[in-house]
Amino acid sequence: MIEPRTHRAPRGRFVEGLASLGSLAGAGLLILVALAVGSLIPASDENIEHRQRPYAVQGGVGDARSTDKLDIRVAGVRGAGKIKDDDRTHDTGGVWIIVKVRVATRTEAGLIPYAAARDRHGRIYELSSRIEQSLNGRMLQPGIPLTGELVFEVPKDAATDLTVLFADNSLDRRMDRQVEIALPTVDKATVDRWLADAATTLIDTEVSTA
Amino acid sequence: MSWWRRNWWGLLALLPVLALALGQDAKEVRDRARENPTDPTVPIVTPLASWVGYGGGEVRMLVLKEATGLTGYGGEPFALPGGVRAWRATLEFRDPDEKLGGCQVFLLDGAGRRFEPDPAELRGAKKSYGSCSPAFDAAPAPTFRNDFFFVMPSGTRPAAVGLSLATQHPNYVRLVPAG
Repeated sequence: MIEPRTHRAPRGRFVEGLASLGSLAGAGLLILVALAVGSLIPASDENIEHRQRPYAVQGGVGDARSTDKLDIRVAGVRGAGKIKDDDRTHDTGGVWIIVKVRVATRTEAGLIPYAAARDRHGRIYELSSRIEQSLNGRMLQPGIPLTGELVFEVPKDAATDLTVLFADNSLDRRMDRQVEIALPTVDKATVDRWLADAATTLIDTEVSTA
Repeated sequence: MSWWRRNWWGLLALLPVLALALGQDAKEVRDRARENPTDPTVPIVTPLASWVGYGGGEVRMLVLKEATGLTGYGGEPFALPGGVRAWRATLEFRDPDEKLGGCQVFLLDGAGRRFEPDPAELRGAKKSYGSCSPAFDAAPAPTFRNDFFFVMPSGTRPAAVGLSLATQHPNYVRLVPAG
């Protein structure tokens, strides 16, 4: 038995026009949705500084790390309530954090462009300008590492958990490499002991190539 | 009707959207690539003792050797820090119009690392400070000589002395020692 061939009446021009219009509207709607979703992506991350943050090269005390310009190794850290450089004693309402570091430039002579300490809340402390620092402003020659101390003055509550930062640009560090050395965490009792210590901590005002 | 024919207008509309989306990043990439476009990168290679014209003056290197026997200002022997050797370059200038006065002189090793003159490692040593100008008290003369002192890590040898003027970048003079 032969099955009768199915037969469909041709669609009218009106129906075809409607379908075409619907397809066009659908595509346009999809584009609008894509644009809307795209516009929401940056809005979901309101802090542009966070999105363009430096690329962290993390390490700890004793680890050798590098930016494009510097080779860095933090050798140790100590804290104090009172420090002395060449001939003056310096008190503080916070805590002095003294970081021993070995640093060299890689390809050309230059200064340490940026060194800072960051606490667990993200607050940034730059090198103290209250004292003469042997490595701050010291011209480093490539391949000749110098060991010296970097001194930060931080609030008492920040001293327990600090990370030292090094970068190649003091002003614009967006999306650039940044060495982040986590200092050993200390408890509040240790910070109190630093502050209670009546002795003055002597700062190493010279650098050495040792 | 194929998918491409149906959607050609949408694909076309994507181009300006992409340009808008990526334009800012492209600008940043380009700016980064152009960072310090006037660095001294094109050497004018000049052998030892040969004069070379540069920036309106002329210069040549007479000596590039290890600086031994440095003393302090009291005449006492000057001790270099460990792991470091000092080097001296003597340059002669023919610069009647003082066009080279603002030049920068630097030492390069085989790896292209750049060392600056008068480093802190030589603080306390009795030596002249490198300059491309004649000494203030020098009698007028057709040429003058100045010494430039550098330090390098022990075990590293100089490959050349560079001399550059910002107005002449990217060209710089690369003075190479004999051998």
